[in-house]
Amino acid sequence: MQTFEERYTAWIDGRLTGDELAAFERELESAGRDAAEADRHDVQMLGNLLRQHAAPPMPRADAFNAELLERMRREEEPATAPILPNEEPAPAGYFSRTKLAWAAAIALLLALAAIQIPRGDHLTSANIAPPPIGDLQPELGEIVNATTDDPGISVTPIRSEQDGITVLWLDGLDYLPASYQLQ
Amino acid sequence: MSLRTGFSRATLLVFALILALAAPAQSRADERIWSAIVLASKADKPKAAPAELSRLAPKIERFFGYNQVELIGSARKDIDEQSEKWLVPSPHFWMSVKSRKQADEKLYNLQISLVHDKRPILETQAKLAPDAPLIIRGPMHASGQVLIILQVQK
Repeated sequence: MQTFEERYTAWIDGRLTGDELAAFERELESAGRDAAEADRHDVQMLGNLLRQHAAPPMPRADAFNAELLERMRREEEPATAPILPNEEPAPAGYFSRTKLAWAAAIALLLALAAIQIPRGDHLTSANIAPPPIGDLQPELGEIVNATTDDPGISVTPIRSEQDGITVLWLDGLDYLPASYQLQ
Repeated sequence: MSLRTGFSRATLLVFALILALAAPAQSRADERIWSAIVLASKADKPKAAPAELSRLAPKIERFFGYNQVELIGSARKDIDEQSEKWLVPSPHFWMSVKSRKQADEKLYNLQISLVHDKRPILETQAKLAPDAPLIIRGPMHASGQVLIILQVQK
């Protein structure tokens, strides 16, 4: 079933006939027939105006098309022109394969050097202090499994994304009194 | 020199350089495992954390709810993927660590046994990235919470 908008458009275009037209015009009485008539009048005026001022036919259309295609062909020609056997090869462009290969080699060297530089401290003696614990923010660890033989102890793995730490929380361990020397 | 010859030589050079640089990188992977016994507590006038714990202490304080972190003891050993290592950060807490890491893996797969006063209290398998600490909440002491820390260091 057509919507009101579809039937309205068909009515403006004059495509409604017979019972459909009569039924829709009854429907229009309650929806505001005057406004609908004004709309239809405006649309018809606009259609007439467009038909009267349609674009004039282009003179020599075939010649225009041929000229356009020829210009496109000329613009594409330098990129696809084959090198004739007797011709000297054109000088290599800025992005020739050789230069690209060298650029890639240099880029790889720089990337590898950047990776290697932070590891330089391993080559020197032990008098270089290690970085403070927790200085970096690497990915978190993962607890694959955690068990205890003591039935009174429970183990709970916890990952704290906020603090960047992995915790194994042991419960049920014996309390250590003040007399217990930790060191 | 034709374009093709130049390209081939450049390609060979690139691969040679990559191989030359990649080989030493493998041999420098002398990472170590560090363990520590830490006492976390609430103090009216908290002492500053030792330099070794300067970055980790705020995380411990925030996560466990304390304001003071003291280092009781620590131990550090080179990671040897061939054998088991014993870490003794304090006379009361020992750790046995077996490490396994493939060349293409980022994480160390550690088999850890924690012993408290000669009594095994924990067996765990953990995958740790370098500088990502594993903190084990140990027993409660009269002066605070005992924490055992394990971390792979580069």
